[in-house]
Amino acid sequence: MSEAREEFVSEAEDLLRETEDGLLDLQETLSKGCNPDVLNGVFRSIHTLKGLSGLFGQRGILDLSHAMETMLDELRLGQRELTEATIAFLLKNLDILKKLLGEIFKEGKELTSVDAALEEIGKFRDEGKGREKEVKNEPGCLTGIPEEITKVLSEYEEHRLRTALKKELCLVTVEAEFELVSFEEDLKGLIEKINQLGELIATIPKTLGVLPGRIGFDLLVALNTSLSKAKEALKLWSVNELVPSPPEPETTSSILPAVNIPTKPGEEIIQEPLLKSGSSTVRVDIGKIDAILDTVGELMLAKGAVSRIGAEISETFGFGPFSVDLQKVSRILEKRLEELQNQILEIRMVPVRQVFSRLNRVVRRYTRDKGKEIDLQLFGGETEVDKLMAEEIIDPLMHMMRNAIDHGIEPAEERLAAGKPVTGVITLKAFPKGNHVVFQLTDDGYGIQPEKVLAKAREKKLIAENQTLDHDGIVKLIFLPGFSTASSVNDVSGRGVGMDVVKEKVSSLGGFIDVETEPGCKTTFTVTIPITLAIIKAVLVSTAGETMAVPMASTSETLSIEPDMIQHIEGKEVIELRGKMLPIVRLAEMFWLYHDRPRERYFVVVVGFGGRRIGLLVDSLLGQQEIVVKPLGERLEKIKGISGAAEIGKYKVILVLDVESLMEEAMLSSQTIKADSDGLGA
Amino acid sequence: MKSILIVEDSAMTRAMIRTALENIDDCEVEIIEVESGFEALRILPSREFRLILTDINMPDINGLELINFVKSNPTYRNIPLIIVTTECREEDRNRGMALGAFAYITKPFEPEALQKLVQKALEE
Repeated sequence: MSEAREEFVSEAEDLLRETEDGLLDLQETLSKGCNPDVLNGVFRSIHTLKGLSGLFGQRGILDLSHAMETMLDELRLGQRELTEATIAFLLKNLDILKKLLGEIFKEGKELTSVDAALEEIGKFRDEGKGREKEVKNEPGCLTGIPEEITKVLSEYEEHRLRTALKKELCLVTVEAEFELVSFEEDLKGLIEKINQLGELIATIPKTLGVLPGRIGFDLLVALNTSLSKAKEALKLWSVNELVPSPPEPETTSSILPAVNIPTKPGEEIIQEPLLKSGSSTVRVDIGKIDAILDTVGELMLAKGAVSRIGAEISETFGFGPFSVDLQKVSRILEKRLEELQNQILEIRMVPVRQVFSRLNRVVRRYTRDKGKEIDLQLFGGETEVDKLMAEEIIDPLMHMMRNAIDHGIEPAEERLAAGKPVTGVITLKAFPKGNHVVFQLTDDGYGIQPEKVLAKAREKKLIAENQTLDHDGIVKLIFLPGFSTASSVNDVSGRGVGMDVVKEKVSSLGGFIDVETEPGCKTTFTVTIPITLAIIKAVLVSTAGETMAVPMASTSETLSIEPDMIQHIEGKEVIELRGKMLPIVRLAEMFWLYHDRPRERYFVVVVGFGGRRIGLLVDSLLGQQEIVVKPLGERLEKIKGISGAAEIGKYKVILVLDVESLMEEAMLSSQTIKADSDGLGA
Repeated sequence: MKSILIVEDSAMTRAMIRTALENIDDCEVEIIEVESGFEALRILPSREFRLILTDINMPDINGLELINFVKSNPTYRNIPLIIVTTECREEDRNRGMALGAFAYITKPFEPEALQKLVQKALEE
């Protein structure tokens, strides 16, 4: 893809995301009145998209965004009323824009025609004509407002001013002056205060009467509170009344609920700032950050060599001033490199709110389609995760979400019969846990019925007829490939993928998935993924002459054992670890590596969490190292047990183990041991 | 070297304008891009700008407010301003012209048209 097209797609994607977030926000808060700032934000995004697609010659996006912009312009200028139906209509057209953008990304050009959509917008606008709210440019409205203010207002700002006047709000200007070098921060602080008091209509920079090196502003504000309160809150600045409000300021505050909209309890509060900051951010291709990470990885190797040489020097020549100096320098190098690495990783971090807002959309649409009432509660949007991880985890979460709506939450009549409230509750919590991020998805629906799962698994011959499993073991059968409780394929969740695909995806990200259920009550899926995959700490092991890396995050301890400590239970190898049986997997056998002579001593790397643990048997431990994990590419990525490759030292490439899938293999084959000894407890 | 300031919140549009300006024959220009009105205010005193190209619809202060600021300041008032905006914002554009903008051009624009306009403005 050409660089320009890539840039176009990337910027357009951002704009569509902003538009979507804005529209969803409007939808959510519509019952409390339309928030003009959010609406204006949506307008601005579509407006920018239009300009962008025009410059880039993307006719379809241009025409459609133009039509949407016209609609949004009417809405924000109050010429048309914002309704639930209008928002849904705009969201529908947003989908078409997304589709077009996808086509440009994949095929290099637009394929879908927008003619039908344009016609529909025309019709929609015609239908709404009767309900036009306000006649443009009502005369005589702006009395009392000085001309030096009115002449610089944009059409939109003027509309906000007229609306405020009509509502008989008290209008003031706040005069402020700041140092030119740092005014943005200070002004932002002031604007935050103003947002608590009313609506900021315009920010007008001024020259006259301002000292050199400083900058002055007149902020035009429609107050929601009384003048005296505003003066008290803004006592550092001068507040001048332009148009007084009539007495009884209390009643006016209830007329304009646009600012400080109270949110439902439990709902995530996403504060929409009144003004987007003139931020100093840059957009960077993640590939470029990866390239820096690679360089840092190589620097790490060089640093390793430096400290090794240092150690050799002191070994050969004893501790002289040089070797001490060298060690000191190498320690500083190590520390700085670590800092650098952390800083780079930080750049890649995004709040999971981005993931949430996309899920939110799906839930709204599906609930509408399915006629189920669902209250989606999102927590922990501020939790940060690597950008790539955020992208990768969306699909699994989306699938689980669809499952919850489709199979989890019961239809209204069944809920009522079961004594539950009609509205089903789906909660998604995100929180950091060490080097991991945990997503917990809970629905208060059917729960998973163990009998049904067991019957299905037997029917599909996924387990032996006579095999016995405990409750947890049964519930976990839903993760087996080929298992799907849905008897019909439908639009929502039955796209031929089941929880096994979700599990596989999570596992390929180096994560784990678990499920807990109370039949008839609720189901909770817990997905734990590493914060980043880019750089991980790993234990380097050697077996049959091959070096491999085991991610440290999934390693709990290492053991040194003698061959006679390995016991056999039903043909499986285990060792006893603190009174419990630990299944052993010989890495060399797992990967069909050449076996050399039996050794006097082996090492075991214990991997896994909680009760699900296995030991990887290797010839020797080579130490710990930070590695930059690279994907294996399409041809090799399906190989079970390997999640990627990493470079250690010059030109030496090693494989990075996928612990979750290794464990899966081992656990499946040791299912019977578990049932018999019950020593490991699932 | 003549310094030109581009005030525009879309990176793509900024790049398009920059390409057009860099390809003006026999004219060496230094192009400074900012993505918001606030940034424009801060960068204005940093050098002698010969021309400002500004969008109207921006997140912090709008282009009209910027034009007014430039035109009412004795230090900057001789800098010509060109409004770069979409065709449907006619009302805003007219207000900008009334505040003393030199010209306007609507998006999407032909590079040659912008180049001509810029050359004319620089000759002023």
